[in-house]
Amino acid sequence: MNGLQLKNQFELLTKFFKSCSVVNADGTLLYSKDQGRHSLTTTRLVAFQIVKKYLQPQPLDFFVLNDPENGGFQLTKQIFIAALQPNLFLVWDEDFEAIDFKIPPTPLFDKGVRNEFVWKALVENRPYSPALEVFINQQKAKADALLKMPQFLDSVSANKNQQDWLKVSQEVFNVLFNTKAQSSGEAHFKMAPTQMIKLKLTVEEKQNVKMFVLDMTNTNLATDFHAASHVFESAAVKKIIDFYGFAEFFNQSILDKIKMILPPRSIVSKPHAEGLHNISIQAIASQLCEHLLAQFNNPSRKSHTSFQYSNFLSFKVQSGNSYYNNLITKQCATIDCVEALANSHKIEVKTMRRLENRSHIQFEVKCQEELTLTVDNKYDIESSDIKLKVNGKPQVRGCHKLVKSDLVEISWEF
Amino acid sequence: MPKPAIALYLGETYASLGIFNRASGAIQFEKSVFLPQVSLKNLLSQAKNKLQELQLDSEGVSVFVVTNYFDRLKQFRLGGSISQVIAKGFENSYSLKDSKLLSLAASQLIITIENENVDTSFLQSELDRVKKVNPDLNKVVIALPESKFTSAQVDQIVNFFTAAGLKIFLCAQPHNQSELRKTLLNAGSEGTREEVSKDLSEAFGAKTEIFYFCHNGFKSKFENAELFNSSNNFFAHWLKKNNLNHGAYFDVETFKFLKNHPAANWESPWGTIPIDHFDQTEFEVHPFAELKLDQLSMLSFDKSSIQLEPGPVVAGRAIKPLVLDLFWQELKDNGFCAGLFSALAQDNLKSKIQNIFSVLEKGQKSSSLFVSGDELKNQIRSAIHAQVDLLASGEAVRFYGPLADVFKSPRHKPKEKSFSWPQEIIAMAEANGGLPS
Repeated sequence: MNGLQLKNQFELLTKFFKSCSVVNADGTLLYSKDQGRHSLTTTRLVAFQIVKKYLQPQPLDFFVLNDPENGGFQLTKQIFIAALQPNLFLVWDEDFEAIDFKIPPTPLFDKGVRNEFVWKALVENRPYSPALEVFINQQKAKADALLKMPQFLDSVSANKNQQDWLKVSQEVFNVLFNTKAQSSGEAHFKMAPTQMIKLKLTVEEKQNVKMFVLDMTNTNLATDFHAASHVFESAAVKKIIDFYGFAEFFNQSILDKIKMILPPRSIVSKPHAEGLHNISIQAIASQLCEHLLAQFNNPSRKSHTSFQYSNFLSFKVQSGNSYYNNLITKQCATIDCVEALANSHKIEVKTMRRLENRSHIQFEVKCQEELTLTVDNKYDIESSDIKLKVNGKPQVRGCHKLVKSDLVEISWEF
Repeated sequence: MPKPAIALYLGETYASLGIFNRASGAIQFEKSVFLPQVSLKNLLSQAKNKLQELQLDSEGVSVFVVTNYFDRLKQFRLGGSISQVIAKGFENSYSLKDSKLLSLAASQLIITIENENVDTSFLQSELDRVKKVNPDLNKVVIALPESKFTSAQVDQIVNFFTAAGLKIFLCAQPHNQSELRKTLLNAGSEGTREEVSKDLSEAFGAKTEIFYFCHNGFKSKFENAELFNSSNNFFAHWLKKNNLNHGAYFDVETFKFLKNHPAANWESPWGTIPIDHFDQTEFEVHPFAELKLDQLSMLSFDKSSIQLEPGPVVAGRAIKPLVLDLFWQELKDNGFCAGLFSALAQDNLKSKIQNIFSVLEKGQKSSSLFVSGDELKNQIRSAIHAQVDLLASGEAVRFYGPLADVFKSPRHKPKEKSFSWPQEIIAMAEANGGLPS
């Protein structure tokens, strides 16, 4: 098989997954993509290693986990692992917002047969059981669709094809690495005097070895704001992959060229029990990498600028069993909650306008039931162009209950 | 004597027309043209001449249209000649859900209104203002919620703009942003719909009855937004008629997979639009995607570069090779394509295509990434078969469309006789309640 055929195989295998990784029995990453809001490549690899070590997956086994201290990302993000063949595993993540408890690595199906004991404990007797059952069955169906193509899976899991694919990616890496500048530089983001994330990024070729080194040695120790190392790493890796255009060929050959140096128990290497800061820390990782890579490749090398964090707001609104995710950044905005809640008469929209660069939404809660507004990230309320207020009061990170007659105001500027 | 019926498939880049003689029960004239080279008007004029030649009466003829032509609009912002009359505080409200989506209206043409200033002088001054911005403005979308405006006020505004000669598009549920999007899309695509209908009326006379395939069949009254899924809906009905759950469709401008499952909301390039339709999945490769050497010097197709005009090299004029050109030998032997791309029969075009691929093949640097034109063609075919397997969960799938035989496999076969859009359209029109007398 040539490089294009091998690439096509992995694209097809992952066609119906927005964020997933393909690994073999050794845990070698064969392919990975992150098309959702968060990056989880390394997180999924950690999840796979834990399942492999403790649960010895066999073909047709199907696992789930979400524990942020045990290979997960955050409670609402469910990580699934399907053993497709002895040498082929698919790991993917999907959000199910209602889950607010830890799921350790759990076998949902053993060799294709549902584990009734686990199913009962995990799925049944919850207010959202029917929706959860549908959700899990949908995930299982995606893996089952692949299992209906045994010849195709044989080809993807064949050792020779996997080795050829890793070689092709190595070649692609060498070509694309040389299209950008080699350099070294530092940038940092300070949340408080003793709360700083500092990244030294080195892109170099030494003794014919091309490498990216991300050195976080000077990052402060964790206090209350921290995340697991795989959370930071996933975001940084994604930025490098995208910047160099490696995405279509991304596998272990390329991942091995990205070296991380992380001090123990620092802001970027201490898991948070619920993964509450993952979104913020991924944004910082991504922006620090992007800033440094842009500096290295800036044709006018003299005009180096200091790192400026670009603020954003991620929040969700819960109404009963429905969750609406919203994201506002400097480049784009996705507001899912307003139209849906207005159409179901739970809110009354007072203003909803976009004029030139300024957008402004104001709505009043009209329903008797409680709505919950959760701000997911730590955003700069004072100096930001993005505002979120309830009854005139700016909202910070965390959960806010909305009751009838509450007035919510969201505004932002591109 | 029953009047003849005209069947017209109007794609993004080609049109197929047939004249159905009801007396003989057969299609007596059939012709397909590649639109960048031969206009729709020209095809219709040929059909008119043929009607005379066959001594068939063209007066009051019925035309049955299935179209994919509106897909052309999917990459554009619309509404350059549309004004919006909306309540103050709701300017561009439809666009706030997702800033990455395409716009349906021009901000400079918005007329914001409060219930206390609904008077003719205010409306006139606002109309003068927007007319200065775009003197060609000829349509207005009115979206005023009942909670803020009385029906008398809305009537007054409608009457004013009607008197001013603007075509009115009244949004029935102004508080619902999806409905507002649909109304804006109806207005934004009105020009395209008018253009097609006008060509048909000019060719066959003012009494021509035009039926477009919408969600449930051929209709003469419909919303323009329904036309965006005309060919997909037709295909879904064909599947239903043949008791099939899914199928794959192949022609010169699209390769797609369709399930016979209805959907109520269409995720359009302009946002969610509430319209009953049948969803489709396009295969990874587009027939009009440009073939080029990428940054790795590998021969590949560019998903973002769809060259509808001038079209493929096989059409005779283009110099940039497209995915479709990889299949030039198969197209030469395909009856539909041999007629559509008559230049394919010429030896110099054959040499031109071979030269283009030879240059591309030689430009590849890496041996592990090298792929010849023939290999790429076979890989595209295999990738499509694998996607079909995945989408159909391993079931055999019926292939449909003018190029079905080019992509067939031992598992996935086309229908036995060769595909003809006019024949399919007439068959559907007859099954769909019969042809008007």
